[in-house]
Amino acid sequence: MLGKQKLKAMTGYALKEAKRLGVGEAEVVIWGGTEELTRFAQNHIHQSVSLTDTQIHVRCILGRKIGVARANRTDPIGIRTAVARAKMLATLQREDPHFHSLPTRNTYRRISRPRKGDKHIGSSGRAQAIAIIIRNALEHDLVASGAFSESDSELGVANSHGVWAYHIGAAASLSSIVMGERGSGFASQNTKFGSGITTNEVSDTAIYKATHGEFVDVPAGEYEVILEPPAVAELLDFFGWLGPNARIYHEDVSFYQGNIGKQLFDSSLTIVDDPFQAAGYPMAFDYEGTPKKKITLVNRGVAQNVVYDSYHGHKYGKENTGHALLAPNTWGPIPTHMVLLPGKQNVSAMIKRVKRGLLITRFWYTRVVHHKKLILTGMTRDGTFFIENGTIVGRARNLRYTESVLEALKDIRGIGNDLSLEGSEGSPSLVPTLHLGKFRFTGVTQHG
Amino acid sequence: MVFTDRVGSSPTSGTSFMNFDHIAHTALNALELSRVSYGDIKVGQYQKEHIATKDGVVEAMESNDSMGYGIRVVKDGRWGFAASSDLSSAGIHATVKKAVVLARAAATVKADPVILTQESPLRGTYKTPYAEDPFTVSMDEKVSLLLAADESQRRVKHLKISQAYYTGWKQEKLFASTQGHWITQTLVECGGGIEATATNASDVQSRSFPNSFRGQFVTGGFENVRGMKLIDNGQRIAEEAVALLSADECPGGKRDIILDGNQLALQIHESCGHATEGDRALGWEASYAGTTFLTPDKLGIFRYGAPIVNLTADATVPLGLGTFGYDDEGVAAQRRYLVRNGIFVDYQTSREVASILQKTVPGYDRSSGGTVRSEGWGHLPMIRMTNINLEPGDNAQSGKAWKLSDLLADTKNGIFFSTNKSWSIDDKRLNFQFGTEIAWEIKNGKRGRMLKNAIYTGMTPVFWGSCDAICGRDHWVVWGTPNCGKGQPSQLMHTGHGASPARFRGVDVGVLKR
Repeated sequence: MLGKQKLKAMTGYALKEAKRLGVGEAEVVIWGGTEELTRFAQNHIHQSVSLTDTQIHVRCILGRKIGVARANRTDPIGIRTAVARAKMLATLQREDPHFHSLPTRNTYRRISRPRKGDKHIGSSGRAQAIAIIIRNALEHDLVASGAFSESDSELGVANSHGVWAYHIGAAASLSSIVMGERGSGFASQNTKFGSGITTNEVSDTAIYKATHGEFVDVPAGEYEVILEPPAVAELLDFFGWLGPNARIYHEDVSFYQGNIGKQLFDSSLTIVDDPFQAAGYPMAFDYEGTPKKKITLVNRGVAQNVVYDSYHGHKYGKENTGHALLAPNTWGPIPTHMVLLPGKQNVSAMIKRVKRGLLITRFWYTRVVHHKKLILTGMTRDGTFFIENGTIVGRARNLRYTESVLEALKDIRGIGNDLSLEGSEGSPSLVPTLHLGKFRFTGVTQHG
Repeated sequence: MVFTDRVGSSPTSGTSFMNFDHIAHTALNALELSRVSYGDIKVGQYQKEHIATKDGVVEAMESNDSMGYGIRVVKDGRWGFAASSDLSSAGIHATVKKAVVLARAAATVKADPVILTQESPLRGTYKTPYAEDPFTVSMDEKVSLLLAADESQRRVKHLKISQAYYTGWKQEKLFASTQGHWITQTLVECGGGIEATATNASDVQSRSFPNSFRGQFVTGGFENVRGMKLIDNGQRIAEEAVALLSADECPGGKRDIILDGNQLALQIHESCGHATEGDRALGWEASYAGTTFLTPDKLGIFRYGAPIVNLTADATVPLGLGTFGYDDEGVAAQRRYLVRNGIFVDYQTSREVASILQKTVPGYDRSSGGTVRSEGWGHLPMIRMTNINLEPGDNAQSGKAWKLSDLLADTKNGIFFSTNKSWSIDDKRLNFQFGTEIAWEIKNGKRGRMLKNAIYTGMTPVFWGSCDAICGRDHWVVWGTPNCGKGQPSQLMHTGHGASPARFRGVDVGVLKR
C-alpha cells in the first residue's frame, strides 16, 4: 500500500504531465494493493497465493476525443509513458458528440473506519481456520474444499478539474463446500477482515447442508421457493445490470424501459443502492470521483430510478448519480451497492409457511435468456431441499431453472429479517432470504 | 519516448527479454538460497489494445501494458505462489520469501507432498507466426475498419444498435525453473466482430458476426482481422436482427438438431473441455467451478459419445487461441485425444496431476499434457484448455465427411442453431442449456422459417451419444473463446475450439415455449 499522500503525488504528477503535453482535460486513477488467498480441496490446502500490484489509468481528452491508457509501471517514467500514450490515442480518436466534461471538484462523505481489533489474520491464520473446517468435515466423513481470501486495496482518483478522492478498502471472504454421499453443502461469509470471520459457523452450516435429508425425487415443474441470500444476490446482480443501468435503459434493451413509476414487483419489495452501509463495503465516490449517494431503485414494488455516470447523465439529460465504472466503460453505469431491504419474518417461520416447495442454498451458472422479461436460466447447487407442509422432508437433486425474475418477484410471500453480505468488494449486495410463490424449474440433474 | 501514429511497440518492447533475464536470474538465485525443493518464475509483459464502436461513435480506444512476475515454490511439500510488479532485486527477493511463507503455511495442514512428473528441462523459444503484427497496424486503420463495419449495419431500417469491436494482445514471457527450464515466448493474438441489435416494446434480438461475444479471435496477425469481411456482413446481420423480432418462437419438443460450428465450439468448451480438466477430476476446483462427472474410474472405459466423436486437446493447431510453444510450466505444446471413437481416454493434465494419475489410475503412464497456463503474470498457473477440438468428419475415425448442404438435405424434421446467446451447465458438466441468437427450422431437407429464442437442453453423454454426422474439414474452424473463467482468484483464459457443423438426434428444444 502506497498511502494517500503518495497516491496524491503520483496523480498530481500525471496531471501536470498531461497539462505539459497540452491535454485539455485529463483523469488519472491509481489503484493497487495485495490480495492473498488460501484454497483447499480434498481436505488439504492445494493453493496458497499472493498478488501485489499497482496500476495507473490515464484518460486524456482533446476536445471530445478520448484516449485511455493503462499500465502498471508507476515510477515517473511509467507515469509519463502512460500519459503520453493516452494523449496519442486521443489524437487518433474521432469526436464523441455525447461527451461533455469530466466531473468537477467535490467533497466526500467519510466512510466508516475499521473497528478496534479488525485485522487480517495472514496465511498462517487462514491455514488454522481451514484446518478447523477440514477437521470438522472429517468427523462427518466429508470432503472439504473452499477458499479463504484477504485483501487490502487503495484507490486514488484525480482530474484536471480539481477532483481528488482517496479510498482505502479491505475485504475478507471464507467459503466452504463439503461433499459426502448425500451431496454437497455450501456456506460462506464475506466481511472486511479475516478476524471477523466465524469459521465454525461456516463449517457447521456447510456440513448441515451436505448431510441433511435423504434424496427425494423432485421432478421439474413450478414450486414455491425459499431463496437463501447467495441465491437472492445472484438474481439481484442481473437485475442491477439489466434494469436501472442507464446505458441499457436508454438503448431500450432494459425491462425497466417504460416501467419507471409503475408497480413492477410485489409491494413488499424495496431495493436501494446504498454505498454507505457499514455492513457492506462502503465507498464514498465512483471511478470518476463523483460523490456517491443512496438511490432508491425499487420502492414498495414500484420501479423508481435509473443510475448514471457523467457521460450517460449528459447524453440523456439526467443527473449524474455517481455510478461510473473505470473508463472506457462499455457496460454502462450499474448499481454496485444494492440492498434488498429485509422484512420481519424469521427464516424458520418462512419455511413453515411453504406448502410444497424448495429451499435453495444458491444458484450456479446463471445466464440471461430474455432481456425484456428478465428470463434467466441456471442450476441450483450445494444444498437444495424439498419442503412439504412447512417441513423439510428431504434433499433434491440439483434442478435447472428457467424463470422470469420479473414474474417471480411479483409474488413474494415473505422477506426474511436476516441480511447477508454477498459478492465481492467490487460489487457487494446486502440481501435477506426470500419466499417466492412461484419459480419454474425446467430440468433435473443426477446429483445434489 | 516518441510516439507515432503507428502505435504498438511498448516502451520496453525489444528490451523486454533482456530485463526478463535479469529478473529470472535474480529469482533463481533467491530460490536457491531458500532451499525450495522446486521453484519457477514466469516473468512477462502483457499488452492489450481494444477499440469498440457503437452507433458510429468510437466509445472505447484503450491500451494496456502490464509487466511483472509470478514465482511458484514447493517448500515442505506444498505449493506457494507470489506475484509482484516490483522489479527491483529487493522486490524479487521479498516475493520469493512470500511464496515460501505461503507454502509453509499450507504445509501446516497435513497432505501428501507435491510430486511432479519427470520432464526434460526444456530450453527454447517460440513465436506466434503471423504476417502483420497487429500492434504495428495503425490505430487509424483499425478505427476506420470498425466504423465502416458499424456503418454497414445502420443501412438497415429499424435497427436499434450497431457495434463493432477489435482487440489485440501480445505477451512476451520467460519461464525458468530450478530444474533448468529456460523458455522465451512471444504470443500474438487478435480478433474482432460486429453485433447488430433490434428492439421493440417486448423483445430484444441481436445478431453477431463472425461470432458472439465480440467476435472471432486467433493467435496470429492482423491479416486475420482483414479477412473476416466484417463490412460485407454488416447489412446481413442487421437484417436478421430486425427479422428476428417478428420471427416465430422456437417450437418445443424433441427434434434432430444441427449445430453450426460457432455454437458447437461453446458446446465443446463447456461439456468436454471443462469436463476433462484433470484438476477438476481430482476435486481441486470444487470450491468454485465444480467437479466433473468424468471421474478417474471412467478413464479408458466410459462411453462419452457416439463412435464418430473424436475430441482432442491440441495446442499446436494453427491460429487456435490456445496455441503456443510451451505451457506455463515448461512442457512442450502437444496434441492428445481426450475422447477417441466415443470413449473417454484422457484428461488435460499438468505435471502434478499427471503424477497423481500415474499413481492412482492403473495403467496410466502418460506425462504432462502441457495444458498449464495463467492469465498474465500475476495469477497461479493451472490447467486450462488449449484448443479442444471436435475432429472433423474426414478424420480417419470420424467416418463420412459431410457437407453442410448434404447434412441439411438429409434432415427431415430438425432445427439448425447458430451463434451462441446463452450458456449454462451444472457443476459436474452434465446438465446443460444453450440458447442461440438465431435458428432455422429444417423441413424435409430444406432450411425453412427463421426461429427466435431458440434453446436446446440435455445431459452431456446422452447428447454426444446422439451425434450421427459431423461436417468435414472444409467447414472446420478453430473458434476463439477469450473469456473462459476458472480459479480463485478468478482468471480469464483464451481457449480455442475446432468445430464443423454436426447433427444430434432427438434433442429437447424450445424450453421457453413449453
